[in-house]
Amino acid sequence: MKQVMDQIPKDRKKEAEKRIRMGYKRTLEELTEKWERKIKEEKMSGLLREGAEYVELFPVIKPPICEICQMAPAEYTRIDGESGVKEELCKYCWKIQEGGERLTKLAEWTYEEGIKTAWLKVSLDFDKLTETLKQLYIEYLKWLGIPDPEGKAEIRFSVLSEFQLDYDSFLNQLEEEMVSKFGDENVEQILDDFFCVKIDNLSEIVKILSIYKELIESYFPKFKETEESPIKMVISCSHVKFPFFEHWRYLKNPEDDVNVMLVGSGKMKIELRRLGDLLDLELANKTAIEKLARMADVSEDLAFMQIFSEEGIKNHPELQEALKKGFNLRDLLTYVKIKSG
Amino acid sequence: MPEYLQYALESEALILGERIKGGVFRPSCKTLRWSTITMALRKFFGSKDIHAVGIFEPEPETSYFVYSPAERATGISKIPLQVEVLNDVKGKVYIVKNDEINFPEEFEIFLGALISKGFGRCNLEYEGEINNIERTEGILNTRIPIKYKDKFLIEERDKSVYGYLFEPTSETSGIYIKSLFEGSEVVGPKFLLRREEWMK
Repeated sequence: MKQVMDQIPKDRKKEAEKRIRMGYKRTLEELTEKWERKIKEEKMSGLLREGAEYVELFPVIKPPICEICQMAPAEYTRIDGESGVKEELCKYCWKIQEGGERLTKLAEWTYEEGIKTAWLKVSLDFDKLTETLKQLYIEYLKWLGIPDPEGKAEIRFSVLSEFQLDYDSFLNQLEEEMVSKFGDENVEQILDDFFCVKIDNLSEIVKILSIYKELIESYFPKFKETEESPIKMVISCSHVKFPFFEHWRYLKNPEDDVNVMLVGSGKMKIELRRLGDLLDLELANKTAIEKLARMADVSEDLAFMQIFSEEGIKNHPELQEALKKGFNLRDLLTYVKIKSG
Repeated sequence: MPEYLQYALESEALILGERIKGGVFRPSCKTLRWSTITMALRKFFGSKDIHAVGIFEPEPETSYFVYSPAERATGISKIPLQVEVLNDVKGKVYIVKNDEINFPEEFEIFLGALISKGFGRCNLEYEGEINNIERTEGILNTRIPIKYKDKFLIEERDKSVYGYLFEPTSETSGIYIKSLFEGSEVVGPKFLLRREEWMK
């Protein structure tokens, strides 16, 4: 780091040092504040358990077992006034239910007919980040003409701390953009990097992809040039009542830079550098696209054949072009389904 | 040291339901847990002294099956349920060797849910005996009750994922027993660990 600091012109050195110190301080303060707030909330709700992630785990549980967590004996029975459904709950899940609904918008959506939700999770792979930053740093030092860039490029905490500030700002901006495009009443923010959005049709996923693309271009444009981006985005879309943990299984393990799952209907995974090309894809013949999407719903093989048929060559020149650019046919078909709503 | 009989398992479609509260969607477990395979084998061979676990390899593709259970009295179906189905399942079953039972070279058992709808038929074909067990540190790829972990030469490490498996105690009752779930860090036989982990 000292060597890097030596490269900075004298008149800008003080300012750079000051920024790094402020970055450290702010990150630490924010982390402390967040942690203290979490502990305080959990203490107030009686959910805090010091020293253990798990509740007390008995070697044997005689039925009934808690229907929610399935990790403790059920001691309470709750009967839903509306449906009459009986729930056997442990004391922890009972307490959480008593605490009331935190995700109020999501709770309301579940009472509406035919609502779709898109779960959006942005993840940062820290190992990949260090590797990518190092690579970018080497390229930068090479560009400056500094000898032995590989030996000199070292990613230390201060650089990561600076990055963290940008990343936080990127997430804040993402939240603002989502609210501005979808309306506050349709966006439930669960964590800084985790949202649930109420959508009327699948084509609204394109809006999310566009927001993400623009923000990446604005905050981390160099990540578009890398083989694999350290920042990844996953969207999982379904009917609002689809079980959360099924979404979570997909959301927590991004397979590529940008991933979309339409539950029961298809998946798409592409590299960040291809996202722009995908969004630029002009799917002009709407009727033919809708027909193709319906066909793909019944049989993807049939849809493949349709694209390569004489009719397909006439109706879907843009898909032919995209295939030539190296897009995967299955990903394209999922995109067709998204676009056709 | 226990010895194991290795069988290759094949099934066209399996539903190994996770116990999920309420909802109209029933996901399927992606491993062959101790309770499922052990209870099926105990029933098939009429012995209580069988312990087995299994793994699926590769992780099966899934699809969805919608059905609507009808009320017996009225014949009316109210809520359609969507069930996750594992398709073209291939895997291995490891049975703790038990000289009192003559396990055949090949046999057929039924596993999981909706057997009456045609799901769950599994073919098991004997592949050999495992005597020299190579143990290593890795990530568990199935679900094993803690009280039977020694039968599978499993030792816990710092990061365990716990859950409960059902163990029948009679025809009509049973208990839930604390178990190690997939994803736990353990020392155990290579064949019960995630391949990509021990290959690192």
